[in-house]
Amino acid sequence: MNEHGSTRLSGVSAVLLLASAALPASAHHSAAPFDMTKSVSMQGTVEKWVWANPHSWLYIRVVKADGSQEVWGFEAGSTGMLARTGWNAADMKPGDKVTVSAAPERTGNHIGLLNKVQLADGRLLSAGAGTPPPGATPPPPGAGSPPPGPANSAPSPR
Amino acid sequence: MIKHNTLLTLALCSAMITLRSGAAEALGSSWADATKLPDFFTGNWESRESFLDSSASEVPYTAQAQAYVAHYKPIADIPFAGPGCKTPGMPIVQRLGSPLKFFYQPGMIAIYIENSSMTRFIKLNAKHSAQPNPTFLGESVGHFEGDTLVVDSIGFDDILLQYGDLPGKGTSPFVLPPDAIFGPHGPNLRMVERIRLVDRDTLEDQLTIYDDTVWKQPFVSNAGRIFKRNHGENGWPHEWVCSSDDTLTFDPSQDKTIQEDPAEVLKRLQKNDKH
Repeated sequence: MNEHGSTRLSGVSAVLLLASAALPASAHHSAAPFDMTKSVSMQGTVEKWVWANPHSWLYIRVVKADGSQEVWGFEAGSTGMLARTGWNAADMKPGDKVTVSAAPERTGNHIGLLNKVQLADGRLLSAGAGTPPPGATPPPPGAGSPPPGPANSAPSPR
Repeated sequence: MIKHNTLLTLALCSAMITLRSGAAEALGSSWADATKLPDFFTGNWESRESFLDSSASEVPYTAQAQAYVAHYKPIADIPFAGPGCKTPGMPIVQRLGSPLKFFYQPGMIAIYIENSSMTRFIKLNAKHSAQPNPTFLGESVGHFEGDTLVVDSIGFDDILLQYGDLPGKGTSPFVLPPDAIFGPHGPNLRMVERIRLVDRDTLEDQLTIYDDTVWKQPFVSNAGRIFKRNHGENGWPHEWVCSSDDTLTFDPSQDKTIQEDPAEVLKRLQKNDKH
């Protein structure tokens, strides 16, 4: 497990910070429990991928350096918004090896607000905000411009 | 003379027929009108703005509301954040981020609100019921003024009504529940929306709220006014059912977010899987 905190806002965390302001819109609760200025990254094995509303949840088992194990839960978006961002209910199944990046819960509980997941096959699923993930097929010609992404506008709540 | 009277009668009849047919042909009354309406219908519409009003919307309170506000204690989150995802109702439910999808049939425009899987039904060119039953979306009638759909809604249940913001709060781009003042509405609460296309991919929903028990003047909302169109697959509606067994749950009775150990939640979920 590689955990690190930073007082400097990276581009990603800045986006997440913006997202946190919007999260309670459709979130089942406020984003207040999460420290959006920090990021944790860890490798683990998928225990359960809950495709649900108002939030999907990813539960993974992490084996620490001393051999002990921890279960972590990561909150993701609503199913419709995840689908629009390129996610699928079948993306992960128990036993899959994944690398997760998330904003950690403030008091040290094993909970995080999901930012991105690297799958065993190399695919990267990002939290996004209704925008296509990197590498996603662009809209067909003449379909008009997609809504502004989180990099240049206020992101959509989930 | 007879010829003159006959012509006059024919002209009057013709004028009456024209008037009657004109009244019957208010936009939104026929299938043929589907091609004449502004295109609210292709794809869906996603709000990327604050779902709560900023302090810029504030209008003077009535004495009754002022007394309520003086003793108001801020809340940590909205009722939607609690178990069962109780809807905040109009207008906040439309601004919760997941898109809106418009549908048309003669005499009706429906708006599917993906977040909560609720649908508004707007009767076109019709009058309100004499005594509508209370609902969280209200009873809505609408008509077109040019390319603008004007929707008038009454008959609201126990919706989450934002009066304004706490002193010094509500100034950020995204106003959060602890910044806002919410309170009960009066019996004559009425919302009027003017919905139009700003451009092909931008929809504006300009909302004015009338409640003479809360405000001395109409409340002109600045929240969730602009929606952007999603195309293609992203413009397709999705089902939304409140079903997840969250590790985090807001408890309105305690006004706090309850956290569970994810290991315990996982055990419960896996146990349920076996049944």
